[in-house]
Amino acid sequence: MSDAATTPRIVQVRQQILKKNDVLARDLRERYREAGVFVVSLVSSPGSGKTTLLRDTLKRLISTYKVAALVGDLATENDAKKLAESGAPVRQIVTGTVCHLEAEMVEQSFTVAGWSLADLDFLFIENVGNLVCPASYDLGEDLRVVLLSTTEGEDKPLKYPTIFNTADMAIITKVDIADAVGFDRATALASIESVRPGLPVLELSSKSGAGMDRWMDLLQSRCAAKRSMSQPTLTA
Amino acid sequence: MHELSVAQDMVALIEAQLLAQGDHRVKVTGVHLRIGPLAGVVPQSLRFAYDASVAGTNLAGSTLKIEEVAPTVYCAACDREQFLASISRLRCPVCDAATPEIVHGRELEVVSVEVVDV
Repeated sequence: MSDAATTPRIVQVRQQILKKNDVLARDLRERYREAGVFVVSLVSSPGSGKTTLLRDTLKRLISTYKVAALVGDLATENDAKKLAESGAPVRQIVTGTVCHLEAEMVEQSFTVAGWSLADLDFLFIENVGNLVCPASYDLGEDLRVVLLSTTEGEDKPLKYPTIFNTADMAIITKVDIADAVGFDRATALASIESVRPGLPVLELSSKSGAGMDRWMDLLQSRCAAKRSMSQPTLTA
Repeated sequence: MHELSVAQDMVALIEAQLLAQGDHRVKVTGVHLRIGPLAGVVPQSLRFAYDASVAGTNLAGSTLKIEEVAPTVYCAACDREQFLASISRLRCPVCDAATPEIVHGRELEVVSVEVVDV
């Protein structure tokens, strides 16, 4: 009898540890679809130019579209202030000690802000500057963009393959100073292709504006494509 | 270092599962995990975070058994699954074709737990 009590028995669990986040991200994706809002998230290491690119993106879109942005940082509201220069509604998510955004933080943030998703054309989410942790968390976004600046090592994708693997496209930023910093473009592109074959890559500079038109075209066409897919079907 | 969040989610998931199936009076002695290299979780960091996360729960003192899943891709050129030596190079080890389709490697799951009745 004592044997039966002390011999461990196996209980099958078979569950994804981040199931709660995955389920919430799926719910968010469905809500975004119903609302017809195109959701873009930006991930990169600190200092790659996420905030500057996002501010300038918001500035360009705001005359034609309803846009809003969420930005995650461990501390300070500095990025939210910089993004607010665009005139778009912005909300800072201060994560404290948490090094990434989770679907629940995103949902709480736009709920507390009182934003109606149906009134938005674009929602941007700037993740915490970190190439490791954000990779594990789906936020329900339509487009996850990973940024790599010309001032970083060209082999960064090889060092952080997981984040590049979860992205839908890559943007090489700060191309205006590529020559000055000795950026090896071919090696950087080969590194991206190595960790994620076929990943679309855009090259741009927020400062000079080079490549920004292509980025805008991509966002607008992807947003329009999503809306045409999610048009409610008319029934008799 | 998001392994602490992952460890806490893992403890909550296991406790909820045991409660759901009526195992109220058990002590967990072992946890079997499967982790792929594309899950974004470092096994060593998770072990460290796990020990901190189980204190005061019925998982306290349990051992973590981590099975590291080999990264596997589907090679369209070979029409078969292939193991990769590294996730930094998603190309078929046999024919060198690009292999973006990942079959295994993203796993981050609790397979089973060992429990004793108390």
